Amino acid sequence: MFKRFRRNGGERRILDCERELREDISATEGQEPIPERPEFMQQWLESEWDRCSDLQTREIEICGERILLFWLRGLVDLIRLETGILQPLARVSKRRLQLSDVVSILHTVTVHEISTRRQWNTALADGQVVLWLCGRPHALALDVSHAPGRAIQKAENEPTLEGPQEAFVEQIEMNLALLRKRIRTPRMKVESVRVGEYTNSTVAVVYVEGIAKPTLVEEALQRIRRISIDGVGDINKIRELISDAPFTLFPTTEETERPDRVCGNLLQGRIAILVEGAPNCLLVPAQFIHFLVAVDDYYFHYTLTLFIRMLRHVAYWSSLLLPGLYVALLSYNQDLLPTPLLVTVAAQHRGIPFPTIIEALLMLVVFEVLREAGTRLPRAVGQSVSIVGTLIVGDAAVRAGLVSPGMVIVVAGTGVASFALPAYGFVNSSRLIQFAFVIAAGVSGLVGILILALILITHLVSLRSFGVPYMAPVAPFSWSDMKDMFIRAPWFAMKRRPEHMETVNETSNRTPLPKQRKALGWDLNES
Amino acid sequence: MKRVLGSWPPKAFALFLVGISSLCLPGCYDIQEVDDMNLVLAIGVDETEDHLINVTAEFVNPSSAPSSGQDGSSTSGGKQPVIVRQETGASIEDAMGKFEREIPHSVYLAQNMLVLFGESYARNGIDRALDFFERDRAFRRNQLFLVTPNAASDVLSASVDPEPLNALGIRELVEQSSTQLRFVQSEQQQIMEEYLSPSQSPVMALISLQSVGRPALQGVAVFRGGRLVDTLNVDEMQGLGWLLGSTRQVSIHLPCAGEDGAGTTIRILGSNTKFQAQPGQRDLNVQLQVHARAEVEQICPREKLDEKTFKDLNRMAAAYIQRSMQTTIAKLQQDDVDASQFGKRVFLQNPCYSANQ
Repeated sequence: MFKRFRRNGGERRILDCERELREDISATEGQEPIPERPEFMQQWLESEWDRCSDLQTREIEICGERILLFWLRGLVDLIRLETGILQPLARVSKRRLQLSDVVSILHTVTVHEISTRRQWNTALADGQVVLWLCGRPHALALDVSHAPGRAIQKAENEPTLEGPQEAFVEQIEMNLALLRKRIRTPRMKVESVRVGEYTNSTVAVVYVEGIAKPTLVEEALQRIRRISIDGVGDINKIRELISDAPFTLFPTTEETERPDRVCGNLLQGRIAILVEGAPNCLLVPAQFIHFLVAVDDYYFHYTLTLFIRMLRHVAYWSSLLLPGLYVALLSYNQDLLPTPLLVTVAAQHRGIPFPTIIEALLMLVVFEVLREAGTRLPRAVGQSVSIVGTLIVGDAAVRAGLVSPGMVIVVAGTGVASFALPAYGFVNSSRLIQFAFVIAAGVSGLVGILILALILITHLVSLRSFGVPYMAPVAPFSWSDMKDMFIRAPWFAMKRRPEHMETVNETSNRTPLPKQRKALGWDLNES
Repeated sequence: MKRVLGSWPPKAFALFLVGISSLCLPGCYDIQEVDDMNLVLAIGVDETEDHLINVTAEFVNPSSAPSSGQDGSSTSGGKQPVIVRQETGASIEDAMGKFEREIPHSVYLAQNMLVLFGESYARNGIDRALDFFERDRAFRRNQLFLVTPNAASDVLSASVDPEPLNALGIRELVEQSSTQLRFVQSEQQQIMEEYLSPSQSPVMALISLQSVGRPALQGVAVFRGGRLVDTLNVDEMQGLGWLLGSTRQVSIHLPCAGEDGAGTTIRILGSNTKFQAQPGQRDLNVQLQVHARAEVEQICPREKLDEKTFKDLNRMAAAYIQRSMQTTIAKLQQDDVDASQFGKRVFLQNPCYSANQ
């Protein structure tokens, strides 16, 4: 499965050695025990947290015992600090306090014992309160954190008419809770890894045990553990660092902001990767077909989905090929056009000072600039820019005789076709590839398009995502997976999980077929 | 190779090689922008009095051609949507070559829809023209071969309103008739097939100018080999249709018995002709059976549509078809031409008999 990793073994071994060396160095850093004597502790804290004005310290004395509390301002819920920690401590009357005594009297849900400096720093950075009894080699990390963050909101990038509306937020705990809410089984496993030298962000790998292929999970974890970087604040860094083919234009990991979509995919044997601070989630492995599937496909009746999904496939290939085909047909292969259409096109193109390829490239660049402007500007202004750009600039260009109306229609059609695609990353790749097709068409006409298409298909079939062929289930072909490829079969017909995921448990639906239900006498009409 | 390429990865080298090789493809060399070409829609071939070839070409006039930006009007600025130009030469190739030399932008022949032969040229033989159109790869094989008793240039200059482009209008006229009688659509590949078949009798649609100066389908022109021998009018054309095979939506008019009036109109919805050749010791018996379905469109004023009338109409229609076929056969026999493709059909049914003959 992981053939790619067996290649270039020598080179990889060298890299592994370097990584291990780095890990050894970083592993020893911060592993020293926390100082026991108060003056050493003060010295260490002053050097470690020097010029950190948000570090808060509170010293209390209980029956002759000095207790020090440390936390970072803004990350802690002060009410819980007062009611859960300070008030219970104030009621203590016992002398010679031990940590176990403190644990038993505190009203804090989560308490961890820490013994190293690294754990101390991590607990503080995570928004926990560190409680230290002077002179003890251990401390307590008390979770009363209340990190600032927004509430759960509606999914804006992947809207749906029917189905759940919730979207992920920047807090990984909340995102995991959204998944737990939907998959209520201990079989849903969450394995966390800290990534980032400075950000120390939590990256969670979520999968369903008994469905996801164990080697796939191990591979994902290994790739994440190998990351050695200053910081991870968004999903894209992880995506680029763990991607199978970093130089391809096609995304080999899928991104989503919808917890329901993640749950559906987890049950298909895929793995979700969540990152602290990222309001979206990575799904691996990702195949070509996943980027042409919208969540609505599963929320609408399958008869409607059949038509819409076919339409989406047509839209994708149109967005890639339409400008290139237009250039090829107008520059080389005019004989393929019906006569009335050619006469019309020729009439429209008369007086245009540029060759068709220049005209096409010009229009595509202008369209991309307008699209970029519309995306970057605030929504209300962005829409205006898009409309003004499309209507006024396009019309003015036609009236000025710089471009032909046919070209405006083709470029607009290409843009509209790309908007029909549900995955933004996939749209971006088609935006770039269409330029290559236009240039190929301008150089060699339909032959050029054919050659580029062959190269593209060769590239696509050579890609893998976490060891799974990118073009599965088309190449390699799997008839049973075709039920959720160009069409979406009715739920009662989809009994098995995708073959190419090599799931542990292949059966996903044990409901009898309508015919079998009838035979079992389940149908109400029959009774 | 390794030393030159240094540390190039094999995939990058392969891509580089493909990229460079693709530049050698016959791509940029034959680039021809759509506004750098003269679209030819129709070609007329006539013979001059001094036996030279006069070629008329109908070009699209891009500045006046119909397009979406003209609010549906067929022309703009009072200009014609097509330009008709003529050249004379010793052969078609010679005349066509003159267009290249005398008209700006190159002549684009791939969209040519019609080839219109003048009657005088067709009577002297179109073999060389057929050879030219077959050999030149620029032409589509679905272009129509037509014959006109008028000068080809006059027909190609005539108005075919509401269709703004003359060639499209004429093609439309022929295609309309071909829905009834398929053989009227005399496309190049069909003509060549008939020309090379055992019958060697191509049939082409006959387009002529009416008194008002508009082109109309007047019948078909019948060839023996490459020479035009005769023309059939619309009624005879129907007879040929029943002889050749299937027809659709053909109306026939039968007179009323013993009185004047519009008569009875029967629309033959569809017909099929079964051809059976039975070679004897000395001669060949050919049997044609026409099976047709029809509906009555109009009957004589005082007639009742009962079972007897139906039977009478059935008999009269059968007699009409038989008479029409006999008339056509008689004319074809008189011209000594096998336009009804008997020779070909006999050959297909009895190859041995044909070989012995």
